[in-house]
Formats: sequence, C-alpha cells, structure tokens
Amino acid sequence: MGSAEFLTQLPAALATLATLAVLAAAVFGRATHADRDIDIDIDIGIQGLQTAERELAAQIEDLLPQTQCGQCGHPGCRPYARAVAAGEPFNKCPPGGHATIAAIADLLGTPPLALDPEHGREGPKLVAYIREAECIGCTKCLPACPVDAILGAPRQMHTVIAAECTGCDLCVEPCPVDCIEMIPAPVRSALMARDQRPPVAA
Amino acid sequence: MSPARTFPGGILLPAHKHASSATPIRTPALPPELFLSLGDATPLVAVGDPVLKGQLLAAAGSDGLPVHAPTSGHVARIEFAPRAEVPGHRAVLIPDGAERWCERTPVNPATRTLPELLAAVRAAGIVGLGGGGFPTDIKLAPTHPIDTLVINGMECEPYITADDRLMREEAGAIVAGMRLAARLLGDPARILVGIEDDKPEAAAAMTAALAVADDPREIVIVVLPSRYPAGGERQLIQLLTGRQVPSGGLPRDVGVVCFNVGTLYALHRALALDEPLLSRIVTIAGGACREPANYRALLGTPVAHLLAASSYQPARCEQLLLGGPMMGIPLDDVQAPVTKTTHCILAATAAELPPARQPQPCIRCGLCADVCPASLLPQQLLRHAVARDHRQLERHHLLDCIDCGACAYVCPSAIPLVDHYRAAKAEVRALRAERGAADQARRRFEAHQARVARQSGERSARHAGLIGTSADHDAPASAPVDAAPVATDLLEQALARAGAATPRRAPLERALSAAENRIAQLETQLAALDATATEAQRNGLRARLEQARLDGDLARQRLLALPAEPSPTPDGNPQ
Repeated sequence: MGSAEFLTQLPAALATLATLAVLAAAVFGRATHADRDIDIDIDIGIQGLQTAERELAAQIEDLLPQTQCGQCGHPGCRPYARAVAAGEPFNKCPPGGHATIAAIADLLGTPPLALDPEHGREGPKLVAYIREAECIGCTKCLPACPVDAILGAPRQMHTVIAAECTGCDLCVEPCPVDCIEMIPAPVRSALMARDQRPPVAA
Repeated sequence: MSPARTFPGGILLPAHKHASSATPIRTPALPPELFLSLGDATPLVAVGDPVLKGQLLAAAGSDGLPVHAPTSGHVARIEFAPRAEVPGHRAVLIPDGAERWCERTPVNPATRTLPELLAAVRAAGIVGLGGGGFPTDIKLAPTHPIDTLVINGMECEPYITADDRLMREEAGAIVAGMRLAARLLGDPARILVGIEDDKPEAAAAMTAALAVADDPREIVIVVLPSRYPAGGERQLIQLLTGRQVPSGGLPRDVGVVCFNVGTLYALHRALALDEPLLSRIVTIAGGACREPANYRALLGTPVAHLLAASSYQPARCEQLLLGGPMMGIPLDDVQAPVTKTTHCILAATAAELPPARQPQPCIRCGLCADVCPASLLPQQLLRHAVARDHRQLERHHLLDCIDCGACAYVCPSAIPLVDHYRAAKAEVRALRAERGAADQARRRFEAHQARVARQSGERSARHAGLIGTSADHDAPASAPVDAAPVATDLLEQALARAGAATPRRAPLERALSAAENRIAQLETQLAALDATATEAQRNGLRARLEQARLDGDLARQRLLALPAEPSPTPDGNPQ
C-alpha cells in the first residue's frame, strides 16, 4: 500500500479503532498472525469501553439527587445515569438543578448546559404532605412512592415520613381525593450565624 | 522516654492570663432567670412545676444529653429562642434561692460495675468541657484498646484561666476523676498530664494531689512550653506521645483518649457525689471588665449576669467574644446563657483587639502555611473556599482545620481566613448530609424495587401453581423469597420464568391503555389550566404528560417486539 493511498484512507481509518488497527497491520505487513491479535485487542477495547461506560454511569449516578422522580423521562436515577453515560443530554434533572448539571459537566469535561425546561423547573426541595383529615385510606399512593416513605393501610389514615420523602411528586397524582400536597422541606441544619461567609478582598 | 516531640506550626502569643488567674473562683449570686436549651430533648416538667436542684427536666434527645435543673425553683415558661446559638426551644427556670437538692444516692464508685458507671456518666449529661462538647460516656466506652490517657490542662488560648484555677483549687477531685476515667478505659498503661509552663501553681497542685493519691500506674505531669495551639487535642497528643491522629480519625485510633481537666472534675462529682453536670467554670476577662475573674456559673446563667459581677463597662468594649481572642465568636446577645461549652467571655477593649482591618488580596507570603498546626495549605483552602469548590476543599482536608485562627492572626493582608474556613466547613458538612440522604433514598428505592419484583414473582407463582410448569433457570438472587415452605419450589420456578421468559401480552396491553388514559386525562387538565395557573403547575403537568407518553411508547415497543402468538401462560385472574 502506497503512502498516498494511506493518507487518503486516514480519516476513515481514524473513525474506528478497528479500521486503524487493520490498516496498521496491512501497512506493516503483519496481516497473517496479527489479525488474530487485533481481534483480541478490539475485543478488549470494546469491553473496556463498556466497562468505562458502566463506571461512568455509576459516577454520574453518585452525582444525582436520588429523588427517583422520573422527571427526566427515565424510571429512576440509575437509568438516567446510564442514558447520560451513553450520550444523552444531562440537563434533564430538575431536582438536582444547576448544581448537578455543573457536577456532571465537570465529570464529563464538557461545558454545562441550561436545565431543559421540558422536564421541569428547579425549585426548593419539597416533601409530600398528606392532609390527614381528607385522607380516605385508599392506599393508592403507597405503591407510587419509589422509596416507600408513605405509611398507611386500607381504611387507615396515611402519612408521609418526611425525613425519607425525596419530594418526587409521584404520589400526588394517584390520590383520588387530592389530599396530598407538596410543601417546602423542613430545613435540616440551619447555618448558624457564625458560619456566615466574610466579605472577600476587593 | 521519647524522641523530640512537637507539632507543626503554632505561634507565640501574649498570655494575658494574670488578670483573671490571681483571684479564686467566685460563686456568683443566683441570676433571676436561667435559660436551658432543650434541643429535641423531651420535657418531663410542665410550666409552673416546682423543681429541685439536680432534677431531670428533660429526657435525652438525639444528642443523648439529658437536661437537669441547675438549682431549685420553678419552670416559668418553655419558649422558642430564635436568637440562641442553635435556635430551638428552651426552658426558663426562676430560682427560689433555697438551692434545695433532689434526692442524691452517692455510691462508692469502686463498688460499681463498669456498665453502671457508664450509665451514671450518661445520666449526668457530661460532655467534654474543654470546648468540644463531645458526650463523655461515648469516649469512655472505647472500641479500640487504649494504652494512653492524656489529660489536657494546657489552656493555651490567651486570657482563659478556667482550667488553671480549677487545677489549683480542685486538684484532688481532678485526680479522682482521672482515676475513674482510667478504670473505665480498661486501665491504660500510662496517664500523661499536659500543663503549659505558664501555670506553675497548677502543675504544683496537681503534683501534690498525685502524691496524695499514690496511684501505682505510670502517671506523668509534663510541663510543656507555651505555644498556641498546644492545647488542641491532636497537638497535645502529638506533643506527649509523638503519635499523629489520622486525618478524619479520632485519638482512639492511635490508642489514646484525651480529657480536659474540667471534664474529669465533673466526672468525679457525678460518680462519687451523684451530681449531674449543673455548673462549669467560666472566665470573664478583657480590659472592659474591671474585675476579671473565674466564676462557677450555673448552666443557663445569662452572660450579662456574669459580666455585671465583673463590673463590665460596655462603653469600653470593642469586641464581646464567646470564647477566647483566637477562637471566640462574636456574641451579639448578652442575655445568651452559659452552656456546657462556654469557657470564656472576653470583653476586649480596642487596644486589646483592634477592629478588623479591611482585608487585602493574598500576597502569597506563606506565613499561614508556616503556622498551621494541622499542616494544611491555607492559601489553597482560601481560594477553593471563595470559589465554593467543595470537592477541592475536601481534597485539601478542610475538615482537619481546628479553627485555631493562627493563620488569620499572622496574615499580613488581614484576611479572615478562619471565618472563610468555618463557613466552608458548614457547607461541606451540609453537603455531606445531603449526600447521605441521597444514598439513603437510593437504598430505599432499590429495596422498593426488589420488593415489587418479589411480589410480582409471587403473583405469577400462584398462577404457575395451577399448571405446575417447570423452569430451566434458577431464581434470580436479587429476589429473596419468604413465602410458606410448601410453596417455595413453585415460587422459585415462577420467579425463574418471570426473570427469563418473554413478557406476556396482557400486562403490556394494560400498561398501554393505562398510559393512553393518563395521556388523555393530562391533556384535558393541561388544556383546562387557565391564566391563573403558575408556570410550575404547567411544567409539572407537562412533565407528567411526557412521562405518560414515554410509558406508552415503551409498552407499544415491547408489544411490537413480542412474538406474534400470545404467550402460552394462561392469564388467570388479572388484577
């Protein structure tokens, strides 16, 4: 193979690892036994890529707020993390908001995106609250809760364990009497006055 | 005994201790009101109830610390205190002046078992009185073998003399507390008492008390040169033993437990006299007090009461600090009560603590890094703290900062470094708590999914039981089965099928029609929203609509992917 021919093939060759490897083998005339090596190399390469993608998904999942709300269009935070690792835009998580987007952008080494308003708006953390006087004890909200944070039994009043509620909103819709509302989450640890930041030097 | 032992960094500071260390500890008059923070402790008394000194007012909450009545009187009110250091409810006790004790039953500690002693320490509500406030009973029940008990009598911060006075006046009780602590810790091989060289009287008193106690163990009083912050727990341990407490670790990780002398005194009072922790020694110091002194202050005493006893002159006070000049925090409210960790109130004049200069940009002189006793990089930490880069802050071990303030003290640009770190630490801790909550949510979500899978497996098992088909695969390990033993085989078979077989048509059709219904419903709702609807409502509906569409699409795709024939499994009685 002449060098001119090699150059014309260069862009295509760069497109995939496999092509490049085959080409290199051809150039150096090691086709016969090198083919097998290349196959093995490619196998390891693809497996490595899959492993890398899985690891990336796990790292992304660690950055997600674990609200399990499905607002991103995926049934839970892990599937969303996998989709992002596979190339889906990472601006679909309203509970995580800008902080989560920035963290994922940081991880992926790409500029951050604006939150996609299709999937909701960023807001304060909420928790579900059941107006107990109105609850009829239908148990319909119980299976909707992704983290089993609603306590109740048939014809018994239900209540939300606020400390475990992720604020995903999924219990609001199944309620036939609309007695569940989302209220601002109680502040876990108020910053003390002495923990306020001093001004920065000009 | 050892190679040269030192800790990195540190600074020499003017001590300013003589003003308050010359006079004996005073007992102030009873204040008109005592303010006792309740936290989330459960109150056991009602408003108006008479209470006796030492009576339990509230059972321990999440911090494990009970609240006792520091004197006899009655509960005037239980109120919300928004300006407190930690906002929350507090009980207000009006003393009757009689100091009538509740019933005490002192038992010779030597005759009691270790669990009994530990329970007594817990019931007495003792915490580390050096400033940490860590519950003492937890430290006394170590999970690691302890070979060295370190006693902290350093008191390295200027102006503060509470421990100095206590050692001079109550050395016998401190030594008794030390021996109780040693017994609870499984008799460590040696006890090292660290005292700074500017407190010769205290060292002499402790030596005399030790001679009286005649303890067979190796107990050494080590007089150490004054260098701030030699009284920091980690710094003192390094000075005395040469061991470094690991980053993020505790002294017990290197076989050491460290107690402040005030804590040992409280321990002795609790175990030998059956007295809960009701008071502590507080230094009132600074040029704006005409009579600086130490006070045996009942917990809950308003700071103003102690200041008045020391002839406080507000006009001369430039800065009123809760704590010493290095680590103290500004005290806005002089009615704030003395707590278990209040060791000093400093009313400093402008000559003593000049007003903070305007911070200038960092000139990278590196003085801060030279004096940092934790070997941190204060310049890097400042940069990351200003940028709120919490990951970098954690990587640079921000949480190992002990707030000693040496960096800010030497900074020629007058940057309040330690204030930045304190704020950043609070943020990092809040983030960690958030991350912990997210992990908890993930675990609960996974448990929820496992349960749903198990229940659906059990349902199909009931169906399978009717026809008894066998399966080729084992049950998936992720779906534990806890049904009656008779059904186990059937369950496993069904679970295996549920895991391996192609999905059945009927549930998918149900999912599709449910999704379609939901889409229709949501579209109607969305259309019905009028102009008054908020953007949030609209977006919420849209997001749910989108979810319903996705669910529908998924069900449709799966239905298309099914083999043309319906699955052979009979769809018995669909729910």
